[in-house]
Amino acid sequence: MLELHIWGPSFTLPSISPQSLSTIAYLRLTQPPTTWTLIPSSNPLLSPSRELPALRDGATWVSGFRGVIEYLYCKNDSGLDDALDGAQRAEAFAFGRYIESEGGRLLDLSMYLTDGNFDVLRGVFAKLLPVPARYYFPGVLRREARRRCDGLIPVTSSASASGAAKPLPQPTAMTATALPGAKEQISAKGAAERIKQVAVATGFLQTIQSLLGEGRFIFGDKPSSLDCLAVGYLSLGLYAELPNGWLREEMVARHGRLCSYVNEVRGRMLGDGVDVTAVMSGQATMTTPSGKLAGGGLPWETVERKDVPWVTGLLLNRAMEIVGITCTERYGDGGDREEKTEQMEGRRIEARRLQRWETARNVAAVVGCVGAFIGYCVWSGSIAMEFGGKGKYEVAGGMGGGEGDDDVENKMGLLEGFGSAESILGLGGRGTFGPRGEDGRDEVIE
Amino acid sequence: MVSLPIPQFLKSLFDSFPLRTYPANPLPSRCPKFGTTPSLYAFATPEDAVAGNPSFNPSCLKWQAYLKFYGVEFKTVPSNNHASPTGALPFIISQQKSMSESMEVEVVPSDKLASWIEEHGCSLDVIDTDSAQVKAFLVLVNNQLRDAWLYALYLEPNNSQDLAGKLYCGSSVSAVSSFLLRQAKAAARQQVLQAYPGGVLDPRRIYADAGAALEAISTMLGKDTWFFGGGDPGLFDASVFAYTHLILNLRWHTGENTLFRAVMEHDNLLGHERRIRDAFFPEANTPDANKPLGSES
Repeated sequence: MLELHIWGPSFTLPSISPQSLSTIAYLRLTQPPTTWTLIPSSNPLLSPSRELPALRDGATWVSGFRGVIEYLYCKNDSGLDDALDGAQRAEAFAFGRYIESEGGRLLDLSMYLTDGNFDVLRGVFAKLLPVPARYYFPGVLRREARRRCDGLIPVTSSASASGAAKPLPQPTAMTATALPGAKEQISAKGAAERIKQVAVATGFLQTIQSLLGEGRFIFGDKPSSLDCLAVGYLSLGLYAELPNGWLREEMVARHGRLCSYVNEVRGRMLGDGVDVTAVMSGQATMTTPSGKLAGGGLPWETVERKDVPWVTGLLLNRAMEIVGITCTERYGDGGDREEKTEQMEGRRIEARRLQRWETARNVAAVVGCVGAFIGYCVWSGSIAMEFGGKGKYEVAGGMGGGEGDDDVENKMGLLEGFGSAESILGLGGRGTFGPRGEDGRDEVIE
Repeated sequence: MVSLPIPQFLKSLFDSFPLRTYPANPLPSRCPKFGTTPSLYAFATPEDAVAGNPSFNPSCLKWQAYLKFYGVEFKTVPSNNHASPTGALPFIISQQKSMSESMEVEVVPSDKLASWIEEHGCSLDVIDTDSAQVKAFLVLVNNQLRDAWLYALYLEPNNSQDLAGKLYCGSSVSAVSSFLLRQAKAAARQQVLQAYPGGVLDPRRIYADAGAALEAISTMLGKDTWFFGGGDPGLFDASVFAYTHLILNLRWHTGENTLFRAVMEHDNLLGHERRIRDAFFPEANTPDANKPLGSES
């Protein structure tokens, strides 16, 4: 049994990510319905490459649209693109990459980087994710989208700025004379942004429309993997109900051929409309009042919501990323189809050695910083002691290590160091600082 | 804001040192003098720049080749990103005599180079770069091939030390160059990670993607002389040449030359590279005479 893990459903589509949609379309066209299940787990940490969609076959994980079709091709020895000749296959590959890159950026722009739309998207993610992750992931996805669209959006656009929109004039400045001017400015900015967005969209949609031509599918009468990709990306643009629907309006208004193409093949590739709440609560086989299946005819499986391990994994992951102990580069373990020459071995060992060195250096840096901080606290604590006139503590603090004979007293000194925040931050002169230090010590010792 | 009156003694002090403006200093003698030939500011070694040899940076080499295709006369000036008004190389500074006989300097950044070159060069029989096919295949070069190039050059441990470090981060102070290399590596990683949102860089996957891209590009070239059946080499030919030439000519480390082997598999791409090199860069190193370290493996 194949398990396809995806980002969860949204806007009546089975997933919110275009890659997941394309993969669903591919599986639906090539695999008999009883041999695979669809799990809206929305957890990218499941697969080793930390990406969704991910296909699990027993103990093997493959991820991404390309990874999945390649794996299925090796497994079944047949694929959707078998009927294509060499040139067509090259073309399918190039246009597939084009859709992934340009179409992906267009969706990023429309979903994550348009004001208003992102707020709706947050709500969508809230239905798919458990509590801490639902606040974390949308931001991460938006950051990624912003990185991908770097240079595509104008600098004045609010989406390209790191924070929110350029602040509006302060209420005090909004006098009767200032108000119309400000309004005009805002609408002019909106119009400029819109022109830019439409220009980006037209470039992409025109190309795909010219590729599609008049045929039922891109390459004649039979669907190919390129059709899966096109439908995955275009359907999200067409069916996502967003408050600022410039992409959808552009598609409907000027690219009718694309809309009719997506409408036509949607049922076959992505199932009929999906009821998000029903699917997420495990009632995908239930029929809706209109007589349709809530799951849209897709083989849904319920998510096992292991929230605690997930959140722990997430936190651990972040912590490791910050310290620098990540497994972001792996040198070919598992499922090796390549030749394993001695050079490769040597290189792997070399790479591991480098990685270990890097980790050791990071850990050393963290330990060093913490050590320096504690050392500073002890040192500043000893100054406080000296001011109080008790030489004993000064000696203990001066030793600096915390491993002297009078361990308890040493800790006292340390406590005091932490106690007087002023001394740590270097605030306050010596004069103001003296009596306070004495008070503090009295409390601690007596 | 209330301004304080100047005390009398300060006033008399200032009065005894009146403000004087000196004439502007002449520019230092080493500062560039713009001739009538346009200068292309690109990553290049000083020797290569004088000889008109290819740059070691793919995007600079692409424009260099494109300028040569159009027969535009230019000279290459070795430079780095800090010199550029947009922060990216290459760019062109050209000087024209305007009506008033005063020299006018025109700076052309890299995103406007294509139209500038087409305007100043001879007319060629090239295919339309706006066609859907060209756009799609350009994505392969600019994403898959570029990611693999960046990975091979900056993120393979030995290559980054010996190639990227020497070519891009050469500074006489070793601490500075190691810091620069670190910065460059982080930037390269950021760039490559855009295509792999999970944050996991698996070299096998990156090289496999680039291999598939090369395969598709090679199929597209087929037995033609230039891509898409053009009568003269165009922008796409320049883009592909920029990568294939550099991949074939850099001295990759043994075991870190997957990209080199991937290009070697496609005879028609090798032929394409050789045609452009012979016609436009006759002085350039040939891959055979300058065999990369890893080619024996």
